[in-house]
Amino acid sequence: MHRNIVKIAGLVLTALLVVMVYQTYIQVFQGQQLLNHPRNRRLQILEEAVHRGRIIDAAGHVVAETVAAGQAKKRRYPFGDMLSNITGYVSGKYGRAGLEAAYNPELLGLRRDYGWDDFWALQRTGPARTGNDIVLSLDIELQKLAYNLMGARKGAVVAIEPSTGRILAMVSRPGYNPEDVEARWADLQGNPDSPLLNRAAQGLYPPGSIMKVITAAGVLSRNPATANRVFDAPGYIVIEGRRIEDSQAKGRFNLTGALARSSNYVFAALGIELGSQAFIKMAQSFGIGRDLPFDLPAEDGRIPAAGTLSRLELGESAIGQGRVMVTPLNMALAAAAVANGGQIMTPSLVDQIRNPDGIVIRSFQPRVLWQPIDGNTSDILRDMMAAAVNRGTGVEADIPGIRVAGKTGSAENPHGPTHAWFIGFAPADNPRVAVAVIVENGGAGGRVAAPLAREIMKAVIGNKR
Amino acid sequence: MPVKTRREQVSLLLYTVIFLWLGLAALYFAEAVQDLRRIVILSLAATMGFVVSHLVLGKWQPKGDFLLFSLASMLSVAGLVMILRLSPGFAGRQFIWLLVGLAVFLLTAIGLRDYRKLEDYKYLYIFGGLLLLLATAVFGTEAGGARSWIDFRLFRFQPSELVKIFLVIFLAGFLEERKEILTAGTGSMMGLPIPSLEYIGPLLVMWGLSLVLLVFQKDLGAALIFFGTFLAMIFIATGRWSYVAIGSVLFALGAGFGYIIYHHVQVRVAVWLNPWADFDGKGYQIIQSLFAIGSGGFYGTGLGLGQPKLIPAVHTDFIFSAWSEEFGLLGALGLMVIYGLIIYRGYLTALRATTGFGSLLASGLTSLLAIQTLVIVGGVIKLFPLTGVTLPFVSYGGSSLVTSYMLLGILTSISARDGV
Repeated sequence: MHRNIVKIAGLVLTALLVVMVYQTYIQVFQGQQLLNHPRNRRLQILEEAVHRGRIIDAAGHVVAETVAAGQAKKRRYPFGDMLSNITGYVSGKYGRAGLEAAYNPELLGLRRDYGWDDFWALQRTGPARTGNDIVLSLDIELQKLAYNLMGARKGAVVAIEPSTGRILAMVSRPGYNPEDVEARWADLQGNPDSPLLNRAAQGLYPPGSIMKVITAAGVLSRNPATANRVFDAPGYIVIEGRRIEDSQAKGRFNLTGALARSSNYVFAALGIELGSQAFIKMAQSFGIGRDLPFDLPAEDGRIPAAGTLSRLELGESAIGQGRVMVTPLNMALAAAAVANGGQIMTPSLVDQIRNPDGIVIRSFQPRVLWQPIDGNTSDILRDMMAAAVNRGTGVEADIPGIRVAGKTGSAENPHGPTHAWFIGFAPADNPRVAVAVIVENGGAGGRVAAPLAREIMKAVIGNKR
Repeated sequence: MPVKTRREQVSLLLYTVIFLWLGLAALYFAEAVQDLRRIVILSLAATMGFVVSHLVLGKWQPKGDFLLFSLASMLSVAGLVMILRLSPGFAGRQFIWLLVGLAVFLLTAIGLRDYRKLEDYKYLYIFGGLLLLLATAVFGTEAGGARSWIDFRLFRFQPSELVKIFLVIFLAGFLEERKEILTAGTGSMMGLPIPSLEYIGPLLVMWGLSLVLLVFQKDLGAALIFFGTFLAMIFIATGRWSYVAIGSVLFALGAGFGYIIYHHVQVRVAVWLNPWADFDGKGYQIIQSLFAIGSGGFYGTGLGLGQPKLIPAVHTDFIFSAWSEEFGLLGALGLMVIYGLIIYRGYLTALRATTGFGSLLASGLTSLLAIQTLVIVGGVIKLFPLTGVTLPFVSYGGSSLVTSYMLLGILTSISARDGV
């Protein structure tokens, strides 16, 4: 009988051990997720007990703060709809969005991940606790400029510092007033212009001709000598019986000329020559269809699987039509890669987190995210893109006295006139800013998006010259 | 008793008392309790209760395993502090129940000089137990979906708690008497020894009847504990896994049957598989439990500083979730280690018992305690489907506390007679 008792005791104690392991899993490994679950009422209770921290731009302007309104507290957003896609909102009814959601634990001072002094509840026993402030890389003046330049049109702008990945401006039109979210919820939800969508990171668009930069990157990575190849463009291309018009780029030119004049003939042919495997691999290495780590919710972009592309579809994809879809952030990062010697830095909106005493408790460190191309390829692409602005379709982006690199796009879409695209960076030889601009159904990229990008780049360079 | 052991005992008692008073101080400073005077009086009474019990036990039953009582009093204090924090209104009753529990413990541990006498009246227990269950079915009142309470106006009692202990005493006697026959078997089916109906009959009848009554009372947790304990004991008596296998199949059949005919069983299983599907309805309680545990993290929020009251019925079935939120993973694992030690000492008592009846009784009672703990802790962390049973020594509830102390008293008595 003793042996049997030992067996049962072993069984029971093993079961206890299993329960302990599972408890550890729930409490520690699932803990953060459970604490920050939107339906966990602890967060609302804390919200009432804590003075939520501020959101501050790079120059020190407060863009979100909690102020006393009589007995109650109110969250104020001095720049309202201009930054709504970044700040998001806080609502007792509808939860949180934007940075208010992403940095909720920091703003409420629940810094539980960061070490020993994080007995948040113990700190809570004091009379009125204040959460941490988060400091953005974003410059409100630049944001204002970009937002106003966009005017009443729908679209997005992303401006990024290529060497660090710091985001300097990120505009999405239309915006909404974060203070009005509760009152206007039904309207915001039902609005066909989707003001709650952050177009800069979540809007999926066909890239149009700006995709040719990536096609060129693929071709040049395989054989740098392609830069000197000379093409005779007839002004159209026929693939599998379908004719794609190309009247603006008729004649004899090399690859640089082809990019400057945005030749559909050359890039569709080069895409087909490259093959779907290599083309898709290059697009993915630029981040299209790849999970992007970012402070705000971001779409990954779409790229079809290699086996599913017909010859026609491959040709179309190489010139940015067909089934390829990108976000403005995707393309700003692609421009930043060319600007930064082929390296894409992890994009970041937040420079620092400061505690209520102003002491920095976490600061942003630049990190290399991906390296789609090598330095040699990026040098060639830089000169090609500079030519596109200097004497090609992107002349409207030219800034006197500064060498600007860029590429225009006019993406055909089912909703009306083409989307106007521009990606680029400046100064070309020592880039301080990379931009992506899209104006939905705006028409030609060179005429509509390029001047907007010019003003933004000019403002960044002018600021610090 | 050796001086060293004696000193260890005193220090264990000291920790228990220190925890109680530190807990009170923490609650006071966290502003989780208001009526300080009443609480201080109650805690003084509890402290006195523990000290007196130790002294009495040391004087009248000096040979028993003191560690069992020391560990259980730690659990009791943890429970008291949590109940004070969660529902101060219930705390007064719980303190009184604790004193009753301590009295019952001393009566059992000291009064039961020779546990072997229990064996003589084994059929009395099972008839007593069945009568209690029958009485509950007839006179019982329903609370929390289970019809398992008898209302005595002044207090309510849950007979199934007491019946569990009666069942273990009966099974120990019965299995000891019949274990040769049960082991050898008188027939065989597919290579498995099957005892003839005449010998296993009473067992099947008893088991079936208990299950039927429990299903009638809708007390699924108790049914699970009854049956688990039964399987553990029959294995210990016979050493045959075939009983466990057949028993498990029988239980699975019963559970499947319950699943088909009882809507609330289906709901329990569905909620266990995916509570998020019915967030505001059936899944609410278990999700709140998970929120509490997850929000506690590694170190916990600290006593009185979490929000465990967001869980419905937190002071009975979900007291462990509240403990986990405020004391963190460290506290939760600590509590489980205490249960582990009690279970370990319980089986050790069973191994050292000089009679077969003693071994079966001690291991049966220990299994009962262990299974009940596993069922509720595993339930609130969503490892198993949740069945509402109390956490022994910790949860609010007089019946549970008093019978847990009675169980402990019998274990102490066995260890006192046969050595630890």
